[in-house]
Amino acid sequence: MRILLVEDFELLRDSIAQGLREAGYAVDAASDGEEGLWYAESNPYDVLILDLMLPKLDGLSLLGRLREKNTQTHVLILTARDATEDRVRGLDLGADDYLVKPFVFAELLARVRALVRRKYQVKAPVIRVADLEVDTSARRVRRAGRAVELSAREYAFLELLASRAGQVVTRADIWNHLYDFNSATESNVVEVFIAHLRKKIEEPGRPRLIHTRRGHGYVLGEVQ
Amino acid sequence: MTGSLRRRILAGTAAALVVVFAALAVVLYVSVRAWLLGEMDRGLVAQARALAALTEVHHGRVIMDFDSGQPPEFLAVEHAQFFELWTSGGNVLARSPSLGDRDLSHQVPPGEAPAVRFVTLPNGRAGRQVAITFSPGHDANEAPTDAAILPVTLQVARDMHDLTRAAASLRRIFGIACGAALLICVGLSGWLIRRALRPLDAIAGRISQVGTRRLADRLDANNVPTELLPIVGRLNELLSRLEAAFNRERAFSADVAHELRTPLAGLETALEVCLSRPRESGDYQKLATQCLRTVRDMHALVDNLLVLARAEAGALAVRLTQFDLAALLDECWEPFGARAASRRLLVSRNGHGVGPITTDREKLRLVLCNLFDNAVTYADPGGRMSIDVRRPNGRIELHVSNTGNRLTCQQMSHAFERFWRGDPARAETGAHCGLGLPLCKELMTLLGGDISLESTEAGTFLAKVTMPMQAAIT
Repeated sequence: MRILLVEDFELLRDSIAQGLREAGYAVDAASDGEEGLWYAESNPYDVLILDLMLPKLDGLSLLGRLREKNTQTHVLILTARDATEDRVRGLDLGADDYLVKPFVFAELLARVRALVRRKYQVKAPVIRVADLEVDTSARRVRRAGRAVELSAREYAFLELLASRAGQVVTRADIWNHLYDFNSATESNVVEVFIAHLRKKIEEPGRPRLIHTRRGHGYVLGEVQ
Repeated sequence: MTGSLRRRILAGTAAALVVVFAALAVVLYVSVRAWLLGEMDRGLVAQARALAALTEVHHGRVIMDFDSGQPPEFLAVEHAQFFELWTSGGNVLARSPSLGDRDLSHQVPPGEAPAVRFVTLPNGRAGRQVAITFSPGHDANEAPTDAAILPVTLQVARDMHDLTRAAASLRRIFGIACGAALLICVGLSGWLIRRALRPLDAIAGRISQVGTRRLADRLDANNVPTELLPIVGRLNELLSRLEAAFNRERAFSADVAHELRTPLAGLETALEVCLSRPRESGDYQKLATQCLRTVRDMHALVDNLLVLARAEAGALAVRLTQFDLAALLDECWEPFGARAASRRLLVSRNGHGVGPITTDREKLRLVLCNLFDNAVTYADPGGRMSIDVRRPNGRIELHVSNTGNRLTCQQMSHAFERFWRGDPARAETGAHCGLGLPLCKELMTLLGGDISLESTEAGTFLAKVTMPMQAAIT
């Protein structure tokens, strides 16, 4: 899942971005409002984490402009302003959640996960596809009751497929949701991840779950 | 005298009413008593004339011809009346039975007109007496009367008892009537005063509803009596000032919270993320360096806040020393040299020969560091900045200027407000949080100097510091 982080305070921006990347998210980070708006308009982000007091363009104006253009990204406002009127204004302008600084990072992660689930209209934290279980809260995967160890990026890849189980996920979707601008990747990296995932998930004697639709993308699920 | 305004007005009104009613009662009493006395006198004169008409000369003797005996009022009874007839020679011709063998005090009126006066009656009581002089009529066949007898003087006197009683009744009636009227008037005044002062209660009620959360409310000047309009106006002005001060304080608290919360969130998140898994020693070192920088920024922020708070409370001690200004300028500039070079700023500087000055070195250092920091930060890349020191009239003038100024004059007028920043959406968190210039202002005031800002030709920002060569501890 791809996240845009707009925060002007360097230490906070760097650590949130690092924490999110280590949790398997693709993260783009912007340090002022104008840069943030440019990023947000250029890519379909799953979640936007937005500070309010930003240089050049403040967070609420940025949010207003995004919503004017009908951008569907889920927005989590992250700010030191905790007055009720600020929260109300932010939520009224189209924010989906509000977190006041300072915060516990685990809570930020939980809220981001919840926003991702909302985006893909998955209510339950555990997604089941045949005998595959993807626990999006604990970020754990089991196949037929057996725990599967995945790297953060592999997990993110599987979660994207699972959240759209039965549907074709295109290579462009995968690029847009799993890689950020900093990812130095080769074009065949998607194939590499698919190969790794298949090796870890597929078992002899059990049906294949990850299918390639040549020229289109990938589908997770049992093929009838 | 303090206390209830209502009571004061009522007491004043009551005192005035007492005086007015008392005066009214006295005037009425005196007039009515004078009228009664006049009536009594007229009665006495009429009686005297009636007696005179009964007096005639008969056979050379003056007699009083009572056809049906003495009138009963002249008999010797309680509160009797008296008369006595005198010759012009002073001999008594006749007297009322009530006198017995006593005399009324002898009185001869100066002319024809009756003379009236207060006397003490023979029975010792106070009385009123009238005296008339006349020549009694006589028969035509009578010889002329002896000139030594005529004219005769008739005195009629009456006890004052009735008048005294009437006067006492009058006093009682007037006293009671005036007292009752006074009570009614005082009660009525009290009611009217309470009614008239009701707008005060209404205003008090509205003021009591004003709280720190409702400072935006103003007292309604409609339906307020003219006399209270200035008070309502002043109160509304006071509320406006209070509201502005509260809003400033609220904004200040919010700003302080923001300035501390954001770096705190940065520290917390950085440490949390760092500890979430084992890392290389280089990562720890990098994180520790970043955290230390943040902690130092927070430290500086808290220090600035404390110095500002102390300066505003007048609790900042000034320690005067004599030192070389040029050396201080070098010392302050030193940490900014590298940053100015990295931003390719063209820095010009003079003031090497200014010589020693006497002031608080540490506080001046804070001011200079703030000004240098601002100039290096806000100058346009590759722009110019200058530090210029002069010494006109025994004062120091220190100008720090930089190109690349984007502030309007209107914006610059806010530059000495705490947490104000040039960028409305604010500059980066941490350093330059809008405390530097307010701090400089407070410190320069403390050192007997001043600081002002100017926007000179084509985007040059100029901070002008003036101060005495010899600061004095005030």
